[in-house]
Amino acid sequence: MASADPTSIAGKAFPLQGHFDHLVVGAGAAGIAAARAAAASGAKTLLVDEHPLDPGLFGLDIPYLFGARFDAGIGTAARMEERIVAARPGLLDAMEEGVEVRLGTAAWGGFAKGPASRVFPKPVVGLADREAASLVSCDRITLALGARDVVLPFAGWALPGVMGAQGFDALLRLYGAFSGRRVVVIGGGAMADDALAAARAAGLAIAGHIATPTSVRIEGRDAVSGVSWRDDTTWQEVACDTVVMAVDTVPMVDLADLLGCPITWDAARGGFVAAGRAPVVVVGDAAGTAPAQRGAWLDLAMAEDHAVVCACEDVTAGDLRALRPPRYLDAAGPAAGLAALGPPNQDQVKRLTRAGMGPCQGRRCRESVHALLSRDRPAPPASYRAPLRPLPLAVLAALEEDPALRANWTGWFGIAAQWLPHWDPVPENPEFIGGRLSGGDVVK
Amino acid sequence: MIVIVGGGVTGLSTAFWLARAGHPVTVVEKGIVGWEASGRNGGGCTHPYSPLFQEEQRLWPMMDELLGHPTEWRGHRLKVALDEGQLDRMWKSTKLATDQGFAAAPLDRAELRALVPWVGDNAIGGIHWQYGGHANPQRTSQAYAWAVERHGGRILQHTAVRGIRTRAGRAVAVETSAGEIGCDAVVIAAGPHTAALAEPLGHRVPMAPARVEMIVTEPLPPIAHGGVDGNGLYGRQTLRGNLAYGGGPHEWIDIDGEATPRPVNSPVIGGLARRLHEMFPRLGHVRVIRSWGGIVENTPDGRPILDRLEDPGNVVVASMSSVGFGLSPATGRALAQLVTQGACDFADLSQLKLSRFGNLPLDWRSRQGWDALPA
Repeated sequence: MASADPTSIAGKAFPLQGHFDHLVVGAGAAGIAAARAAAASGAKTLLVDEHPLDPGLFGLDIPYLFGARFDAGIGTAARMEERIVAARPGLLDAMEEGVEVRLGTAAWGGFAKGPASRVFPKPVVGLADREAASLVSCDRITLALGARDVVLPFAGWALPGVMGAQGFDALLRLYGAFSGRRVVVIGGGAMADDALAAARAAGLAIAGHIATPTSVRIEGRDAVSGVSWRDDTTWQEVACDTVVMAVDTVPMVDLADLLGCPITWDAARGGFVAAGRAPVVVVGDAAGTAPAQRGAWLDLAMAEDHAVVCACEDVTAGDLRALRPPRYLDAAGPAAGLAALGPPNQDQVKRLTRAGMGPCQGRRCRESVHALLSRDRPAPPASYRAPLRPLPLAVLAALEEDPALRANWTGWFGIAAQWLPHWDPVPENPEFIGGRLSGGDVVK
Repeated sequence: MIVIVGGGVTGLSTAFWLARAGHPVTVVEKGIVGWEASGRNGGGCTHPYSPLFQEEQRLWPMMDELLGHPTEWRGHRLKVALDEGQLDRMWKSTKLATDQGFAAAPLDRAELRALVPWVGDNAIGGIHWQYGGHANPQRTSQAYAWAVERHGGRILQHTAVRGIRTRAGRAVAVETSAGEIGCDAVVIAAGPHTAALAEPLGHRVPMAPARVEMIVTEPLPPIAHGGVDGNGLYGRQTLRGNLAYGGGPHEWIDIDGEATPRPVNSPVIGGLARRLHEMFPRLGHVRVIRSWGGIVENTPDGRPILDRLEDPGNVVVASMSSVGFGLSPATGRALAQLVTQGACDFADLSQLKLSRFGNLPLDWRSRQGWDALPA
């Protein structure tokens, strides 16, 4: 056998910033408990949590729907870190017990051995703080990723002041940076009750509570100024500056998906849930949330074709039903609309309509689009891809690189004959004129 | 009935040209049309080393109209060089096109920056190719499929081909997971699965599958010619404004069975971000929001196999050896001619026959260092 193709991934190292017996992602109650248990058993344990977030992510509604009702306090990382430690006293215990805790650190990638890649014998997770991306490897992984807000795409939902229950809770109790005063809560279950109780405890005015599924319109020009809803045959309206959508949450399964865990639909546990697969364990809300009935709410919100479902890419419910290309193409979809595709596939619909393709990475419209495609039976899950959080180019570019990777870098394979005229036979010792790098360290 | 095995761009384009000419066609696709490498690639439409280049350039400006759906095709390419070595290689590639009558102009740094505001002082200049272009792979693949149906062709998705039945030196039926389809001709254009489908017919189609990957950023205001790349990257600014770039090491893999494995990403995406940030140093703040991968196949010399077999005489085998998207309008037209006329009348495909690998040793992958990593 000849030596391995130098332009392939064979023989390239991916420098690690550490190896841990046990990595725990997510420092909520379930993650802290898992990390403490791991450390107690003698495992070298790393616990990471993306909070406090990069201030830019609040504006993108990542990971929750924050709805822009936050004050400047979120920009002070040190203060926010103190608040998080204060809000989760178990973190200090974990540190004292030997857990290495990294706050403000997002897990954006998971790389595991599978049919299409044999690079890593042990799972490797991509981490990033505000400055740089890095990799760690681990023998065991516990995913305590939590749950994400479900967004109801009622008219006006993208106005500043509309948020999810998780976003509301994070701004109010975790960050202490909530800037609203008069709140309307949408939703009828325990989540709505929690949001109402938290609002009351914080001394906020509760302008209304819309508990049963009905048509809703969020009023306002540049920000929320009120809410209208249908009450039997008439419309009611109240003034408010904040609307909390507390109808449902969904388990966060993104990193589990990248690490090769099976993702299955289970309506009784919040939708798509991840099952652990050795060496990955899924705990807390990520493994399933309390059942809530979002279907009726989503149907009402998307009943009319002009409902904007994907705000990043300006895709309406009507665009989705017609499978219409984005507006800049000024073209019609196929005559049969969505039915032209056969069994619906959310990734395919994403690529054709762009719903879910924007900077929020589909967090705000994933459930709406899925519901719209699941009339007969649940459509398969839309895929997740790294980076699971939007990473500035400079941050991802800071990932440490093996000099051998740079030295052998080519734009497309390294087959010299591929780039020379195909009407001539393959020459002896052809020169590679495809894309590559230059310099003394580069393999010619 | 002409059965096309494989609903990627090569098979779909072949079906399109055949259906347009009034031939009955059925495309059999094990998953979704354009779902694999055809729908997820750099979208480049500039291949001057191919005998199909002239036809590629002639056809792309007409494709939206021919297919009846937008492909997002746009003409021109811009090359960014960060050093003399890169510029030198770019000019060698450029010469292949200018020798065929296409125009290209050198750009100094200021001229380059006027066209591409993201380049920095580290760029030494570039080249403006007044030919070539780029298009949206998924939209194009889907447009072919809908055009086939509009012309009366049939597309069977989620249907796997299990074998090709022959009698007296001819393929007479294609066996699928949804039953048998009688046929007068067959085109095998099944990407990395082509070898396994041709093998029972007594033909060894040498190819090695590999996994490759790309990254994409949030949208930026569109520039005049989005087809801009360099620094060891291929890619483009999409019409929407996102930057989509690939390059760097591929991973040779093995494929077992009829499924294509999910094309996961690796930390190579960090290297892609690094190369992109070097090329556009002003864009450090721009967020990477997605990555993707694809599984492509390469023949031993990296060149296509476009050949009508002698036995069975009504079977055409097609692999584009990892460079299929941009050439697809021309490839499909050439393959349609191979099916209906036995030869292509507009391009010299004589070097792309399967027979050139007749003396290839059985362990060619190992000899070329193209084995998959150890399990």
